[in-house]
Amino acid sequence: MDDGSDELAALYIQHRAALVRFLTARTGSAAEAEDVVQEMWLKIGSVPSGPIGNGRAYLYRVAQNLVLDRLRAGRRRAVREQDWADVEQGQRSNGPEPHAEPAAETDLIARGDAARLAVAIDRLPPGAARALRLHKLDGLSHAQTAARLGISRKGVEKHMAVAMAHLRRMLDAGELG
Amino acid sequence: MNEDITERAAQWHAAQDADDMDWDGFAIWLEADPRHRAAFDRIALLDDDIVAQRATIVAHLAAPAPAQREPRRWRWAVVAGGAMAAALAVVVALPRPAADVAWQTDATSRTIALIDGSSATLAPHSRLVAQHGDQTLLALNGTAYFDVPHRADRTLSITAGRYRISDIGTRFDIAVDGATTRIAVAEGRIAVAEGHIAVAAAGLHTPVTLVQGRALLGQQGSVTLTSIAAESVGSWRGGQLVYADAPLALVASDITRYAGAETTVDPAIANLRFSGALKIGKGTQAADALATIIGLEARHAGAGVRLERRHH
Repeated sequence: MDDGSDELAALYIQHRAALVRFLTARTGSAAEAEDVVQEMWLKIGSVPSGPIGNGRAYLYRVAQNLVLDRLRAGRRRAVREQDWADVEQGQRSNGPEPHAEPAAETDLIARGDAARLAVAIDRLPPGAARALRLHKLDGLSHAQTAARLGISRKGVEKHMAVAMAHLRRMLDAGELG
Repeated sequence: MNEDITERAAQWHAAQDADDMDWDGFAIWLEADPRHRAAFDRIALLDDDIVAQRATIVAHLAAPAPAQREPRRWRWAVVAGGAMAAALAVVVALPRPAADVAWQTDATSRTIALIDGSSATLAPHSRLVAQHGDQTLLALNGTAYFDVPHRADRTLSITAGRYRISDIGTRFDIAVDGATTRIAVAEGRIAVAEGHIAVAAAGLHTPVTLVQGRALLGQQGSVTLTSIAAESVGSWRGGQLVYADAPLALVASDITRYAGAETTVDPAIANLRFSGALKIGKGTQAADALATIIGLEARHAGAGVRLERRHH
């Protein structure tokens, strides 16, 4: 095998203990951390990868993505259960029937979110707005965004951190309608 | 949420794509206080929302919102008249990107001529945006069939859901609906990548080349590649919907879009698979035909239909 899997497997074994510690802190649960590192092992074995620059950073990013998948799934579950609860308590007089289609429900929420996010993005400081637009919406990498804005990669990171913190606060403040 | 914690969480989040990310420092920060983890989760989910919905967000950003913008312009005018005129001049001098150009369909599809002899046929209730007015930088929400000749001297890309399509020289169909994206190639080839490296490891590992007769289905970040009859790609333009092993929920959302009759599926059977062709027809015809073909009950309520298991 020259697709990088061997190298990754070796790195995984070398860093497994550190990954478990990281994942325990990341998920707040030692059991979930174990689940995630096992999932990582399966992923590394099954997916051929191209050349990988920094194997350790790559492993941590894979771990982060698996945790994000779980967060997403947890949130979908929470939304469904909330809908159930609302229906059972009769809070939705003209809402869908008790067995409302879950995917449609989350999509509906997502559509409202997009409008609110657009309003929030429109209110960002100009530098943060430009970086977010290029990096998140146009899909350019940090390096491409940096080149387009004529700033350093670290500068893009700073703009992105400002943008995300601002957006989070605006959405939490609930002033976007 | 404590503001400093949110800021720090956003900084860690922005740093994680770089190879010099301090992963040990991040672990120590997370261990220091459970609120740190909660704050990071909320930044990560927000980031995920933005990536998943970016075509829709771009569409909203492009749409004029006079009710919101009017008061702000007025406020700026007041500032300009005051002692801050110099500061305003600096703001105005910043390079302003050109405005987005958007095409949107209602109940009827429409073909748009793009630059270089390219064209896009927009399905009903769909929206195509040329970001900053640049027709080589497109974003789609809904469904469109593209005919884009390959040209070495320009790169054209299309953002669809969480994916980015480039290296185009072909005819192909893209459908974005909520968290589901379908891409199918009728002729030639295209490259599909996840638009953001942080999500790439979870789904599309490296960019995928789709050739004639191949299709990609992305749902909630997971990706399936399948084969499809090349001549069936974009067949909605001729009033027909063609599927190979498609989840029922997806077929129902297509019927809603094309036939204009709200079609839903009992969640218990949303993942049943359907292979075959449906005539779009009018109203609930397609939903009724689908129910007959696979032996389901089509329960009519108002102008809509709900597909359920048959009760005996």
